[in-house]
Amino acid sequence: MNKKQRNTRRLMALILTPLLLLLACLYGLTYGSVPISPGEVWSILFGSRPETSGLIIMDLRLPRVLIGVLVGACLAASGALLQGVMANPLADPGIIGVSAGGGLAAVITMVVLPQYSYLLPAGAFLGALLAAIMIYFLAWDSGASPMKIVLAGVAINALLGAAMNGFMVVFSDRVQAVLPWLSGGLSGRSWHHLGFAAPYALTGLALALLAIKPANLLLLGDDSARLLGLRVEASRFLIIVLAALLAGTAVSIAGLIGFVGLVVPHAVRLLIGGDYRFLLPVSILGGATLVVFTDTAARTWFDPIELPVGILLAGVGAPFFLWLLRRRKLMP
Amino acid sequence: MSTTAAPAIECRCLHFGHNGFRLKDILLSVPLGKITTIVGPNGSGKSTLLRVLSGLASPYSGEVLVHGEDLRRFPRRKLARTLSMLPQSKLVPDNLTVRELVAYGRSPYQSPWSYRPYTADIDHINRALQLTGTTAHADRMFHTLSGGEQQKARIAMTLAQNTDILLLDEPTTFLDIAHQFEVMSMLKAINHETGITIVMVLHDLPQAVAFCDHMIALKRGAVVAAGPPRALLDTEFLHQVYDLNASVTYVENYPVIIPNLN
Repeated sequence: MNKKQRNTRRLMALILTPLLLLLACLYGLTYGSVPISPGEVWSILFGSRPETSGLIIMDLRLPRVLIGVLVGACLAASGALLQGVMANPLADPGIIGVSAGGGLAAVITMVVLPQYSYLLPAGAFLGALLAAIMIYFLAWDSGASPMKIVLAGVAINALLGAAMNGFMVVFSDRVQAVLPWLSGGLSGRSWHHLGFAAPYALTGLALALLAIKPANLLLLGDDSARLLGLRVEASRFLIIVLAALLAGTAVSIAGLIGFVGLVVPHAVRLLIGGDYRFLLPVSILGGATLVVFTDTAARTWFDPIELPVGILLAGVGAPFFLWLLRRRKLMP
Repeated sequence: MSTTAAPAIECRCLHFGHNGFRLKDILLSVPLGKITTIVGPNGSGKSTLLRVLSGLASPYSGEVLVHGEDLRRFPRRKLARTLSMLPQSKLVPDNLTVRELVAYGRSPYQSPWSYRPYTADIDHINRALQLTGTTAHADRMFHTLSGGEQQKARIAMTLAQNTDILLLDEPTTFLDIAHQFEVMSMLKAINHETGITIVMVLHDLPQAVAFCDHMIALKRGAVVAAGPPRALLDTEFLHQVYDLNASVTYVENYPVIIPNLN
């Protein structure tokens, strides 16, 4: 790829991803057991509200689409930042314990203290953040190297996973409630979920844009970044906490949705390169598009069964990811 | 060599130890505006010393003075405007043009939130490209350049930092012989033109002697000799520093080391 090709691709990506996101949102709003035409959606959103379809759009589909946008954006931003600061293109929010921490907290809330199930989002969020911070400090030894963070992450993930399974075995009669959450989905999410998550998600996304420059410097390696005046340890810690905040927010409303944080930034990187000024915004838009589109597919394609979006994402994401990797090998 | 000007870098009673690399009671001074080379056998602590001088590693005890100021008192960004370094790591992100890589050298002068270089930044970037002879490659992707041109582009990034002191960790290792001489001559010319103080770790002793004004020899983490390279390099020096039996001669004023194989 030469400079001109790269710049063309960047421009295309910046133009196309917002359009694709709009299309995905329109798809999510119009398709369903009651089809509603785009024109009708328009008049519902910006004008009169026919009884039934108005309720379907305003109370069911619109909040779900918006939650999909936030969840996808947060997961993709989290993955994009982590892949850079961990110097590992295969890093995703799972590697810093976000999934395991959030999962354990959610299982405890749902199977041990079901009477407090309204605390689930907050609990999952805190669990995700705590696990990430714990892993970071376990990896600390006069600086936390990405390799040590990955190793500490593997150990802590195994430990938290074991605890999660332990709770599920001991309280096996209540496991049914937690299964949909573990496979990740947006079913039944509404305005109050959005209200809970939106402040964290928007704050996280705004902060992510501020992390662009330090994240770019970290791509040069720790020594070079430090020699260019960056406070490497502080920057890496803050970016990891930010990534945990973003992924924790997504996990708290949508459960354990995998692959978005891994696949989207990686695919974007293969297409337009790793410069965070472009990688981050395009990943955010791409992640949002992917989740909204896949969630709509998951709820309409297999009617009357509604699949959790996490399952479909893994099913579509994994082969796509492999295809991208193969393709790059052929095209050096 | 006696310099009347204050030294660019001084070390006093420096001790350091990490992962088996040790420096013992280092006392040295780097002359201002000159090219200094640090030589010594593998594992003698050359690169470690360079890391300590650059602030990448901090000593257990003793002090490093940069322009007479304690290195520990320097805020990171101020240090990055005073001293730049080409580390051994060859890591450069994908899909970067040479100019974009060199532009990273301006980071210590830019606010963390701005992305567009100012006119002054562009001037420094152009000058760094010109000093290293990479202007013609400025818009090419870094990874499409040859090893020698990549190394010049990396050096251009450190020059864009517009510092008084440039440290280089083995700038010629892994380059072919022609590019080795090209890079060394280029550094000499840059030192001559800008007056920048250069300190480099070198493996090739003849190159070190031929191109540098001052030589510091390390052995097992201690300074064993320091002074003008041509005065230092002799049979006794090779034996003392490298445990090597060899003699030194000069062919057309270029040093040649002839090993005594028996």
